[in-house]
Amino acid sequence: MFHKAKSAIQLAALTLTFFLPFATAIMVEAFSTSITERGKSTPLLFGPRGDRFDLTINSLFFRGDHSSELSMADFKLLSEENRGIMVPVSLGFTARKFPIIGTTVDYFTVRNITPKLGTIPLMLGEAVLGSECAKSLTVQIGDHILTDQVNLYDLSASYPLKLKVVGVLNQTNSADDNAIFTSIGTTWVISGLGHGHESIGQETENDKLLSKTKKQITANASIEQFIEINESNINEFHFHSDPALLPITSIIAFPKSKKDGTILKAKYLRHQKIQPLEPNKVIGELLNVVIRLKRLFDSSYALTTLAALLFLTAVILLSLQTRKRETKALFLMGCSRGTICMIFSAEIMILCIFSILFALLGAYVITFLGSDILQLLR
Amino acid sequence: MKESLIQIRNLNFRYPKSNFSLSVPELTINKESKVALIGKSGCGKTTLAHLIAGILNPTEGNILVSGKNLCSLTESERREHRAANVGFIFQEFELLNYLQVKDNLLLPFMINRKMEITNECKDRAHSLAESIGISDKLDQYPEQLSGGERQRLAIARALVTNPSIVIADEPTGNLDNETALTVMQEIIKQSTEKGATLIMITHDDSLLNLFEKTINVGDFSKTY
Repeated sequence: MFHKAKSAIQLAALTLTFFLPFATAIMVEAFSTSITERGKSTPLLFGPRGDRFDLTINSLFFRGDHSSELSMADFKLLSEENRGIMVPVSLGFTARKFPIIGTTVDYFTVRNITPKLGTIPLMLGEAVLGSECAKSLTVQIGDHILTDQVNLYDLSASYPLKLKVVGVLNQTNSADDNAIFTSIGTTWVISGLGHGHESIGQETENDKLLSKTKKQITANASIEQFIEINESNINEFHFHSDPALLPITSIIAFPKSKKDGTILKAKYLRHQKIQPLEPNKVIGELLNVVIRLKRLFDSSYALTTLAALLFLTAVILLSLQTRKRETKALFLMGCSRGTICMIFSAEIMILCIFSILFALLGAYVITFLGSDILQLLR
Repeated sequence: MKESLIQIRNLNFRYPKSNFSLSVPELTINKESKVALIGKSGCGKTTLAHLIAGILNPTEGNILVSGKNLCSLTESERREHRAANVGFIFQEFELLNYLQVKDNLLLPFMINRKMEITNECKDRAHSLAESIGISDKLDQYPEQLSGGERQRLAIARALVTNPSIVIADEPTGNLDNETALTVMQEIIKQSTEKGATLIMITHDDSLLNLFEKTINVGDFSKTY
């Protein structure tokens, strides 16, 4: 350690050499564990025909755009099979960048999620926040959060909705921690399929109306649209559609038994519109790709490490050459060749041990700081 | 009359695959004597010193040091003998810059597993440091010492194990005459105080008058 600069450079070189493979291994392991756990906790998933990876990742980790390929009718169909608990999920909206999940009360039951504060959403316009989401947004129960406008330039798009925070969930160490849960109906209001406005009737001023007959009154755009659902206006909210046709993204199924699950899956295996998936298997396939990629990186790292070690060997040999006189003096003074070897080996070992320790520490720090990447997928 | 310390009888030495050889029929060096090994470059001065120190083993013949025949010892035994009984003073001092002065002083104990660093050793090192005037610099590093202080430290290191023999390999080789004389006087003073036999390899004829005996090694060597 006397030659501080030289030692520091060697230490830095070795640490960087070991850091990359360590960091990759730790991050891949953390990613695999996280994604696999989520897959295992979701027995079956039903969604529209298409890319099974997209469907699985979007449904389990609340990503992707709003989809209208499935509807409540499909959910009803599956529920009537009476083979377990079916949970509809409506995705594609965000509030302050956090995903909004429209679902039913059953979601919390089957996922074993309980509120830490307040309640789960029971009424239209109510929201319960995941633990990390609540921390990040620093909101309290009773506060409101505004949903994000998808396209600012779309004049025909629905207004953002003010969601009332009614609860905060306990930490689950899953994607649920970074989500906002509402009722399915609330997501329909967000999408514009439902809305609320001031009452229109015979007494409504004419400048707010497009047309008015005895049988039908049509309001114009000046009618006040409500952007918040509360006790005073909840009755003004309605849907201009058959509820059965209102869309959902996917359906998470929790079969009563393995047999029920197998029957459900078999029944929809060749369905034209709906595909059944076992998220665990789909994620397994995805991980195989990740692991194959990791192996490719590993072989690249192996070559880099070899190159670094060769350079280090050259530096060590050069160092030994420059310390030849020192070695000779030690030998003349009665030091054995073995002890001299031990002295130099110890110096190299200390360097290697510290570089491995620093590399591991750095890898864990990066994994911790880079947990945003994992949180996106939780 | 001084007692003999080193006795060489019928010594022959040859480096492998070399046309150089050293033949010493008889040589005696007494205890506490000051001996200079002289001769032209390559005549075998360092070789003879290394044979006496037990670093090299003669092809034939005997080297007795304090009655012990070095030629009958294994390499490990000769190394232990050397560590305990021979002190070296090198031309470039060969101080370890990454060790403090106090650790440089104790280096001969540190590098030999069979020699423990006892309180007695530490006291001896401290006493030596005081006698050579560097006792206030024990926590410093060699590069923080002056040239003269480094020389004295090298001398003290050679004497810390209380060796019976001190071998100085051209310690004044790079010095001017005045400094060389000062250094030589210090070496002789310290080795005399410690009762050590001094064997010095030198090219400097001006210093020969400081020595009781001068051996021209060139008389014993041949190049084929």
